[in-house]
Amino acid sequence: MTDEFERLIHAELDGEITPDERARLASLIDADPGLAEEARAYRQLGTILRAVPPVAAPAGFADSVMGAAVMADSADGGVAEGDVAGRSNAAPRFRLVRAAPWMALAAGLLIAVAFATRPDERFQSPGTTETAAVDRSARGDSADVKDRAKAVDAGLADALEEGFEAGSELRFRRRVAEQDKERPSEATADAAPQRAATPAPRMPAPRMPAPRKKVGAKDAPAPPATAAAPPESNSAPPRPTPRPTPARKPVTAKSPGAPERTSPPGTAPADTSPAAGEPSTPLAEGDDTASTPDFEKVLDDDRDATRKRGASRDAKRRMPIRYVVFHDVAAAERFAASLSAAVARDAKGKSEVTAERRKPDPGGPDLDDTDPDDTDPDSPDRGSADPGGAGPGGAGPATGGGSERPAADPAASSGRGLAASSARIVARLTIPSARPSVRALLDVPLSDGQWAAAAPPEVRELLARAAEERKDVEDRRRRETADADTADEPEVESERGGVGGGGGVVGVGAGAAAGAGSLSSAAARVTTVEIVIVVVPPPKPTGSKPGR
Amino acid sequence: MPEPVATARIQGSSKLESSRHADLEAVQRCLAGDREAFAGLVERWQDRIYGAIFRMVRDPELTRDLAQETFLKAWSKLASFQGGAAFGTWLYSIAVNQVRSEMRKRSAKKYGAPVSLEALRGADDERAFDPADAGPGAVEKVATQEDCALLLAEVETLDPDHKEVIVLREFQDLSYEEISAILEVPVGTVRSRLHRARGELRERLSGRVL
Repeated sequence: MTDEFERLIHAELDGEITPDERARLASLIDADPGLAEEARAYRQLGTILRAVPPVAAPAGFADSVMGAAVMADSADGGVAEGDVAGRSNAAPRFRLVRAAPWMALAAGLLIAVAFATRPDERFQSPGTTETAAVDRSARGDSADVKDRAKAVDAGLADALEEGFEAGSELRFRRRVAEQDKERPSEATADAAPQRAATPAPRMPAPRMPAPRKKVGAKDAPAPPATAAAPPESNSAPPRPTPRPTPARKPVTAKSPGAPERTSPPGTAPADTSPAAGEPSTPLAEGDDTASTPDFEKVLDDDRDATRKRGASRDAKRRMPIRYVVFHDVAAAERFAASLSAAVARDAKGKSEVTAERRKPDPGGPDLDDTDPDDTDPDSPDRGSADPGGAGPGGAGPATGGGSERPAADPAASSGRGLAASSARIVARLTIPSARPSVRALLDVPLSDGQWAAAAPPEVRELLARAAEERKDVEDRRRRETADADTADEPEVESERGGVGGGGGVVGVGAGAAAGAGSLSSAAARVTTVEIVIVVVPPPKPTGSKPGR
Repeated sequence: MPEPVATARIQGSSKLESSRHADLEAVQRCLAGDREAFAGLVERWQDRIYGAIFRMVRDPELTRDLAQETFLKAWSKLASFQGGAAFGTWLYSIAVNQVRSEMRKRSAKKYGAPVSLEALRGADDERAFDPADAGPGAVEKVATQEDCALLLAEVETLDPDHKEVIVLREFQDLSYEEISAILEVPVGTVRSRLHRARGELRERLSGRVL
């Protein structure tokens, strides 16, 4: 009876009760007061249910839906109108979008854990992994490409931005360590044919953040007056638009990285702009005019130290060295700090950078002091700057240890009038090469073209000028090489790898691509890389103005 | 004896069916690339879909999200709509699946937050409290709104299956057949679920409202 009552009362609530059912329900209720109470409660419930007001969509809901639909179509990219099926996965998930940062964070953590825990099989044991690395490069390992792209975005770009914004004309001098030059044929012979047969893995043009201070083309620094100028005795054509470098004040602690200069009208103010803060020496990649004698001296010394270390250590661990050249100490230090921070970010805060900062020798000249009057070519600053501390990993002497070597007279050798004695290594960073930030350093082909694609406009202009000047320098070098008086030059050329690229110097002129490939392979062979940050004082005006 | 309930049911269901042809035409236009036609569908169905979801989740923010996702899913899957069922039925089924998916995510905690009467008044149609409605039944109507708050709070605690049929049947005026199509269960299952849900509500509200 109760089941019948239930069926009939629900039929009444649903409005589907027939007259016969209604009569039957009434009889049941009349017969049982309990059922009457139940019926009253159900009817009251029905009344309340019907009294629940409807809910309307909020105003603008339809518009928001249509806006989201348009967004979905846009995100889908090029789905033809009417191809609704093509939009099957295009609808944005707004709550997923909210969760996207967490998902990204989780993915980043996973990547970091993978890097931290994965044995560095890709970067170990040259003899066993080199071929594999080359093969991996040949087939365009997507993971490597992603790593590099991430590295450029996350780490190196920031560091480079620091350098650019600090007004320093940044230049990478990337050089595979001595083992790449002196390396016996055991690795080269194996890898070289494969490298030649396989295209060098090219890094997509790194996306450089735009400089905070825009410098238009008109504001770009003028071509260097002295850096690329030929010696007076040379009959090379005069440099275009030579501009004497104004006298510079000693740099104070307040503005260590931006020596004050008087800028000509129309140029950007001093302090931070690359156009105004530096003496306008375009240190383009491969610009041999930037291979100042003092810098070459530092490189030679560093090479010597590396060679010493290499005998015991690098034989089994080929550690490439990358030189990053600055004109400005503060910018160099910022770059070092930025690079360290970038690597730390890659490693999720794990300290993996072995940094050796070179403090200026109290007795030596102030590196920031670029006053020509204070730069004594005979001052043993480079040697004193290096107290002979342990190099990266605690082995071997520091790089600047070649101080006993007499500094060549830069003015005599090149006539550029640079302060030879004040070039020094600011820091050496030994960093695991697996870190994306360092991979970027290793893998980005630093040819002029690559830099031109990546660098801010003002830097691109500098690089363009530098390319022209480099061509002039190459011509001059060829003439000098042909001259019997330059007997020492071939040796130097051979050791440096020449102006036009090749050899150990990577990213120089036409040799950039091959060099980049070589570096990439080198990066695949090693576990660490040394980043040597060198500060070279800007060229100073000499007594004679070239071209006059 | 007047049968307003039955009349409302029939009208509601017939309304659903009456828009079927218009919906199909709009769907065809959408598939032909007419975005405005979909806008018309959204306009036509937004209140029903939003209301159904709101009665299930009782969270305006979540309701907005789920309703929007429902329409976006319909937009992206429109080509898969065969027209065998009414567009409204298809849309309701998407909405119910959205709610179910959300409930699974929140299965560990009680679904939705307690809603005060004021919040209910704010969320619901304010016409129920319009002074212009004052008349012979005004006092009874206000009392009914308070009862509604209690009722909705109890609906909130129902088993999801029961809540679905209560919402679709009592608040959305859908027929058993339509609910059966939406929930993809037999009509008898819909009926039994609805009976159990009503009985549960009656028991819970007994002595307070009923």
